[in-house]
Amino acid sequence: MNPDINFQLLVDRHYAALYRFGLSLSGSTDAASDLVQQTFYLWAEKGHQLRDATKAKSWLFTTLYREYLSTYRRNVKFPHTELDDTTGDLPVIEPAMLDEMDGITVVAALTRVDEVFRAPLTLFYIEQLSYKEIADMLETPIGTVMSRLSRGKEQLRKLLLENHTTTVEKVVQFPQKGAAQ
Amino acid sequence: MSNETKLLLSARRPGGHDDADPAIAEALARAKADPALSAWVEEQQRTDAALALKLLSVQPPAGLRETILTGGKVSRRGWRTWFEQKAWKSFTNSEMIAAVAVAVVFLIAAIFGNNEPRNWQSAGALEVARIENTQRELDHVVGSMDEIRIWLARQTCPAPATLPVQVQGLPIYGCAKMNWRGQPMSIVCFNLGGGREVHLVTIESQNLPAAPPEGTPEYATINGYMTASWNEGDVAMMLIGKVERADLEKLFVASAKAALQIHVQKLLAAR
Repeated sequence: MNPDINFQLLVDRHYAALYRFGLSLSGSTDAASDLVQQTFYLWAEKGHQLRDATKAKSWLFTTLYREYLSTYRRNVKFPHTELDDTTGDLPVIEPAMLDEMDGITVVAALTRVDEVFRAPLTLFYIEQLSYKEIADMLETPIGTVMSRLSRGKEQLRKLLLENHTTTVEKVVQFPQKGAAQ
Repeated sequence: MSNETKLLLSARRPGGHDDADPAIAEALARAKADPALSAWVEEQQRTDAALALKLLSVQPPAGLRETILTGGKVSRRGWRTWFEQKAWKSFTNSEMIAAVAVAVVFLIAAIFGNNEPRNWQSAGALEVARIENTQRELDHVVGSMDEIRIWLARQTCPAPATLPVQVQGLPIYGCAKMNWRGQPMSIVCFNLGGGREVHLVTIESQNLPAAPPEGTPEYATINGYMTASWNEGDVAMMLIGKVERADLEKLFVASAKAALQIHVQKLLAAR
C-alpha cells in the first residue's frame, strides 16, 4: 500500500501518454479512452497494493497493455525475434518530409506496424520507459526488445514513406486529370 | 560489432534519457570513433526525436481527464467489461458447471459449517491478514481520517473513537468494513513506516460478551499479530500489526521521550 501516490497527480502525469499508447495499440480514439479509463479504474481498485511508488508508471502502462491484450487481442502469442536478425539499416525520411507529417499520420502508421513491434515502438516514442523497463513490462528479453525496436522502426519508416508517396501522387494527379479533361 | 552497436543505439530514446545507461554510453563512445556509425546515430536521433514530437502532439479527447477523476463512468465500464468479456466469454460449459458446483459446496459449508472466529479480535485479525496478503481490497482508499469517519457513518459502520496519540500522525491507507456475528466492524489501515503497517479495528461494544478494559490497552498475540484492545465509550478498539509489543505501546504515549522512558523502565525492571 502506498499513501504517497496522489491519484489526481498520477492521472495528470500519465493519462495523456497512456492515451497515446492506447491509441497506437488500438487505432481507435474510443478504445484508447476506454483503455485509459479502465487502467485508472484498476488503479483505484488495486493500486494501493503497490508498495513501491516508483513503479506506478510501469504498473499503469503494463496494466493498459494487458487490458488491451485481454479485451481487444485475446490469445495473441508473439514469437521472440533473435538479436542478430536485423542490420539496423533503416530507410531514411528526409527532414522536410518529417516536417509535413502530423501526429495523426504517425499514429496511423504505428497502428499498421506489426503488433509484435508496435507496443515496444510506441513506448519508445512516448519516451516514458527505458528499453529495460519495456523488456520488464513485455516480459521479454532485453535483446528481443532491442531487435523489435529496430525492426519496428524499419517498418514504421517504410509505412510513412509509402504514405507520403501515395499522398504526393494523389496531389500530383489532380492537376494532371484536370489538364487531360 | 557495428550491428550490435546499432541495436543498442536503436533503443536509445530521443532526449538523452538513457545516456547514463552503461551499455548505451559504451555504444555511444564506439559510435564517436566511427564516422559512418556516428552519422547513422545522428540520423537516427533526428528522426526519432521528430517522430516522438509528432506523437506527443496527439492530445487526449477533452473531458477524458475529468471522467477519470470523477470515476463514475469508469467503474461502470469496468464491471461491465469484466462481466461481459472476461467472466462468461472465457468459460466453457464444463467450467461453468464446475464453478457452480464449487459455489454450491461453499454455500453448504457456509450454512452448516461453524468456522466463525470465537471473538471479534480474532475475526478482525483474520480480516487484517487478508488485507495485508492482498486477498481483499480496502473498501475506501483515502488518506484522511475525517473522510473515513464520514464514509463509515454512511455505511453504518462504527468509527474509531479517539485515536491513540501517536497513531494520529500516521499516514492512512484507507479503510475496510466487515461483519462478525452480524455486527459491523471497521478496519482503518495506517503506515507505521519501515514497510510496516498497523490497523485499527473497531466494533460497537454494547453487544460484546466481554468488552476489553476501559481506556487501558490489553495486549495479546493473535495469529502472529501483536494486538492491543481497549474500550472507549460505545466502541471497542483493537490496534493490530506484525510488530513487537513495544512498538504498539509507543503508539499510546504522548511523545517519543515518554516512549523512551517506558523502554528504560522496562529494562530496569528486567534487571
